[in-house]
Amino acid sequence: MSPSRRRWRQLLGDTVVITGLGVFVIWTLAPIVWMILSSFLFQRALITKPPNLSADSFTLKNFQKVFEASDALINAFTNSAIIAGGTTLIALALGSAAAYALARLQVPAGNRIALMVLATQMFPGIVIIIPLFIVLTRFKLIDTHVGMMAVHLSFVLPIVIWILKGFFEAIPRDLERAAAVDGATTFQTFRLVVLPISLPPLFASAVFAFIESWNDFLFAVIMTRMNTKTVPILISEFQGNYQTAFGQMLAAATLASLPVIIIAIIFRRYILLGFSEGAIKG
Amino acid sequence: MANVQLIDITKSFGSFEACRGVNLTIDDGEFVTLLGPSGCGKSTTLNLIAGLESVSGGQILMDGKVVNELTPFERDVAMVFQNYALYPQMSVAENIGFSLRLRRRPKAEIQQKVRAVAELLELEPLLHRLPRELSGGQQQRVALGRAVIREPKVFLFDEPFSNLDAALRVRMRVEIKELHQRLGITSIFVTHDQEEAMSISDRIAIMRSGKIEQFGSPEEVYSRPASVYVAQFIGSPRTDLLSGTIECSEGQHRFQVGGGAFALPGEIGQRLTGPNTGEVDLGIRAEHVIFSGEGTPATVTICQPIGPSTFVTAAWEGGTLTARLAGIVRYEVGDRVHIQLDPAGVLFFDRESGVRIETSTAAT
Repeated sequence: MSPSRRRWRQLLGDTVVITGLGVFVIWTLAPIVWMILSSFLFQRALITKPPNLSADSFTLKNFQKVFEASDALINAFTNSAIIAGGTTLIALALGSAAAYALARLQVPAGNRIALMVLATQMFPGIVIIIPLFIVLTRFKLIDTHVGMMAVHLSFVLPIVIWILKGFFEAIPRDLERAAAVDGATTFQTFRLVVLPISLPPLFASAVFAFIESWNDFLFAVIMTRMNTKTVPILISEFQGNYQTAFGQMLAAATLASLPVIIIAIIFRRYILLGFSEGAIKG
Repeated sequence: MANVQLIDITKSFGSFEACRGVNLTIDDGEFVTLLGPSGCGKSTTLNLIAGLESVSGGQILMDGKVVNELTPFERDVAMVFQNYALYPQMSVAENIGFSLRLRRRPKAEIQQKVRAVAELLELEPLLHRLPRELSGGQQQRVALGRAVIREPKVFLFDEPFSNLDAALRVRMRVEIKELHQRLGITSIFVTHDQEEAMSISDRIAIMRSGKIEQFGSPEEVYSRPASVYVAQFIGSPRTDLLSGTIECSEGQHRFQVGGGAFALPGEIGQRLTGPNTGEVDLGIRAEHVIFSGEGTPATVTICQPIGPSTFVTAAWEGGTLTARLAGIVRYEVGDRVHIQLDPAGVLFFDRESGVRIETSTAAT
């Protein structure tokens, strides 16, 4: 192939990739941009077709109204933080131990167990919602933080296990053998050698677990009442019987997204590193 | 220090037999190398001695005690791995002192021992660095330090130089040899590099397909190889092998190969003219092939000057041999030479089994 032809092919390839990525980014970001934009619009400007985006349509009133219901907002944020934080910590503790066992120890039928863990992700949440509701009712865990953590773990834990399992499998075995020769028990090897070098995937898993738990609406709407109402439920309550306060709903949604966006920005280096290492070597 | 004994060791991974009856006795303070090509079972044997793998059959003894069921730590062995296996998140000092930290030794004692080891291995300026900030040679020395600080009964080395460049490898060889001479700890070294094995070992165990083919001193395995396999594995260039027959006429014995014939001393010829030894393989190293005024005429096919010596390959109808000539010697392709064999370096092997046939003068 001649150099000029090779250059054209390279250029064509780059153009296709950049265009594809551009479309993906716009597709992903457009709803978020629209959410933020709408949260600053008057209701009437928002529901006209096309929406009125002139300067006098913008207002901070939506946020003001949301903050007027500050007790409910603080409660919802606290509940979401407790449930998402607790779910994340438990998912990391259980997930890392389970992933290490499946990756490295001779667990009877380990491969089958790992596949079964993955298989739980193949059912839509709605399928297990009734059985989970019955279980939680029996254990008197409806509308409790512990109950919600247990429910969220049902879909967060399998993914955490698979992310970490991939990473642990890629760790050179000689590191663990060296630790064994140095006199470390399996648990000491896990705690002192394996976990400290697994910070990127641990961060990635933690962020994933937190976001999944924080954003859950489906399970929260069934399993919570007054005590553990989470942010997504609070947002949905801006929808009234006769009128939906779109501006306030989107202002609340914008506020609810903030913690997740801040966490993602702070830990983006670890998230990328964690997911890429797991994906390449797992 | 300890002596190590392997008795009929077998190890299977599913249907694959990595070790098939390994027997080995290593004396207290000895430096022994397990040598062989990839997949011959040498690293598996080392892992079995370390306790990182469990044996399928047989016994491993250290100082006369069976250690089959003991952990690596309980066996009191220290190991240096091929990829160094340094803990990436720990500094050099933490890596070296990790085993003492696990044993909950006082901090002051750990620091003092780490400093002593660092001094021994010239690692003092690097103690606060992370492994990724070190060169390959420095990482290897840290791995050595981690083994030395344990003051173990046995050192195990699993191809520790294979990731180093040629010059550094030679330097590390000297360092390990000096370390062994200074500490006198029983050491077992695994490599596929025969030159490395020859240069540092008291004895070499040459492995093939999960068995030990020969166990002896470097001189023994080089000069009196047990088989064609050993003869061709040890030494560079590899031992030339000629398939021919021993013939005798008018009381004069000679080895006939194709159109060439090489005179043999009487006692060698007599030992080889029994009922089964008429057809044999002859092995000869390049330094025992002599170009002279008489002998089998041959034509030069390759001339390779390498500095201190020149390798010249010459062929005749039915055979080829390479001679090592001192210094730089110029031969052109097509030059005619006459070849004789130095009787002291002639080796004979049974054609079927490949086992060396003992001849009195072939032994040196």
